[in-house]
Amino acid sequence: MELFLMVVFVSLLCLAVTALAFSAASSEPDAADRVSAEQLAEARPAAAPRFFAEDAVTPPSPPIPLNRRPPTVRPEALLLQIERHIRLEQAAAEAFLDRPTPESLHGRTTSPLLN
Amino acid sequence: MTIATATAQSELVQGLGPAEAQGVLALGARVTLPPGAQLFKLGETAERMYLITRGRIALTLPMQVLGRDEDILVEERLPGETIGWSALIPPHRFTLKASAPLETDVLAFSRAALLEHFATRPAVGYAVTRNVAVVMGHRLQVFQAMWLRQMQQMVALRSA
Repeated sequence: MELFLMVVFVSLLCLAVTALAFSAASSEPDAADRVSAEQLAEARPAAAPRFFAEDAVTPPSPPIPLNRRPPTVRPEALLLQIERHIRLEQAAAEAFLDRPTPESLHGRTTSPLLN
Repeated sequence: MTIATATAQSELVQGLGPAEAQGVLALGARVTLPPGAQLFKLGETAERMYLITRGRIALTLPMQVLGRDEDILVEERLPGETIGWSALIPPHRFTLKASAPLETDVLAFSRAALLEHFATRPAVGYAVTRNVAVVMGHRLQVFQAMWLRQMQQMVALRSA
């Protein structure tokens, strides 16, 4: 009988200790712990750059039409390009007149305005 | 090519005998243009036709480039070639601007002198007028082809 009571007592003691340990582990963090967690969250960079996921997440910007693109060439350079374009187009037209075929009419030139 | 050769073989007097060609060329007054000089303006009354004997003439049209008015080269004419045929064709108004990018010599033919010469020599007048028609027709055909090429490129851009 004494042995039985001793076993029951030890079992209850172990159960109580286990319950206390479980409640301590599953309880909410205290205020000090919360502050430090918030501080850690603030200290973390808001949007860390990601290599491959970045492109997949960011929607691609729509293409800007050619006629609305801001000028990136100097006027003098553009004038030279226009002059070269006209010379090449005129030469192509002359070649068409020498041998009038659909192919010679629409043959491509190396004009910088078209390539 | 010498100046005399360029003049004698010029497109203006093609099909004429030497004496007839000399008779026409003698009507021209030699004019020397310094580099950058303007021969005629767009929209100006065309009183004279010109034969280039030395140098080069740039024919330009105005165009807006990046918000600026620019003269865009449309054609370039060399010795032996004729410019300013608007002097012979009504409404006698230049449709391009002509200037000399480098020192250039031209023979200037006044409309009045040419018409007076042709009135007494109809065969010469016919030959010269036909030569001018060849110059005009060639320009028309070149620009027709250029215009269609631009249309094709525009259609290709639209459908891309």
